[in-house]
Amino acid sequence: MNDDQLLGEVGAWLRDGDFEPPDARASVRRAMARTLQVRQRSRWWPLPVLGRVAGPPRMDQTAEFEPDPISATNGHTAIVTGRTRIMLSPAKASFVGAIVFAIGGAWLMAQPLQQPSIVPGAATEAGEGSVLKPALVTGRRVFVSETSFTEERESADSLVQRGRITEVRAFMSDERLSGNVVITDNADRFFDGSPSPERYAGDVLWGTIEITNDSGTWTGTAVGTTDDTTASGAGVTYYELVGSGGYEGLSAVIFEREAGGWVWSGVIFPGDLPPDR
Amino acid sequence: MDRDLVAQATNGDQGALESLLVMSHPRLYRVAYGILRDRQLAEDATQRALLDIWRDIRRLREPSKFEGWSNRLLLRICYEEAKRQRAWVPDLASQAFASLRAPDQYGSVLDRDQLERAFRHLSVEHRTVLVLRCMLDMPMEQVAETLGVAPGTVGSRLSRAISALRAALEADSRAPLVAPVRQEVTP
Repeated sequence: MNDDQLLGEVGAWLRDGDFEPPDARASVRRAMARTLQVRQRSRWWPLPVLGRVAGPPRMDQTAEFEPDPISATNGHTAIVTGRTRIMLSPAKASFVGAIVFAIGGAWLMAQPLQQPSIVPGAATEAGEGSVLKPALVTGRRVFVSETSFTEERESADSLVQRGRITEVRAFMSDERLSGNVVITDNADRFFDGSPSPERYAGDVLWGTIEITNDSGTWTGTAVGTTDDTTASGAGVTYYELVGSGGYEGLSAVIFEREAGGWVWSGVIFPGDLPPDR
Repeated sequence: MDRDLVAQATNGDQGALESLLVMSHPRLYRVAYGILRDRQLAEDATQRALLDIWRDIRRLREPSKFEGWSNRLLLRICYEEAKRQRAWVPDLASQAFASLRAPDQYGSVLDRDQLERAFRHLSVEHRTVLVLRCMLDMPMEQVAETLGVAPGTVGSRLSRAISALRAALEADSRAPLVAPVRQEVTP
């Protein structure tokens, strides 16, 4: 028997030895029952998923997991009014508040009364140093629109994605960094070598960013990665920005992470971006 | 596969996704059983694959690639299941059913049993390439794409699978008819 004959017989045996599979609907129902513990993954960084709806409650959040009332010994009827929660006692809350207040007060007292602008001649209409002062900033960005990647192909070891343009709007605690944001992003997503090429060992993401508002423009670069160990494939990204227009002489470093939306935090500071980084 | 149905599922239509899963189940199960040769393991692998499809469907970029993509998800799970499969307990029920359902082309049930035993001696990689090539009649290029390897690798793997199968058949023909059976041990 030559190889072709043997393969033919093996193929016939494999096909013939196949019996009726289990009921498909029942099997799918069983599989779907396990989705309570799994979140559906969205397409990846950097955009939030629009239209995501809350999933069903976890098994331990249903009523049957509530504690049973314990019979009272004094004849009263016990009523369970809700799930027990850990609460901070008033004494503890006061103690913690006092510590926070003390630390905050000490920090305020340690600040110089006047912080002269580091860049000479930085006076603006808003007042001496008001635009160029350093500041910690936090905020979020909200998706507006995106284009497709201009290039998307698979190489031997990675998925290559280039040239997607994403528009978002930034709402920051410091208005200097709020405005319309345009991000051009690229990615190399590396296959993990398993039989499923759609699974990735990791990826590197990079691109450019521009933030524009009425007072000026920030331009800079982005670099990040997707944390695929999380169910939603959350991304972490750093942006390095240089100001122009009304923000001439300022730089900013922003760290982006996913926390119920895309959260930005970072700092605006006078001068150039750090050298030799 | 209905491309529109896949497209709806990738866009978050849960009804379409469930229909898609029901349609895909028999195909996935056949492949899983072909590789794992055990009904329970095959059903487990199929359900895990369905769950992975449900979880990752929104990442599927091209609906026309759904079948290959879902095959790859299933194969990865089959590899994992096969690693956990320490020893073989013959699935006598399915063999008896198969022999009743179709006339034996090889002369006797014993021949089927020999082929079954020989096939189970193969590595999961060899079983997989035989299932894709012989059972699903996939062209070599498609097998290569499904396995994520070069076409040349498929050729050499198939060749080694055939050699291993021949060796296992010959060894089996020299062995006693009733082989000792070990109880399956799962971690």
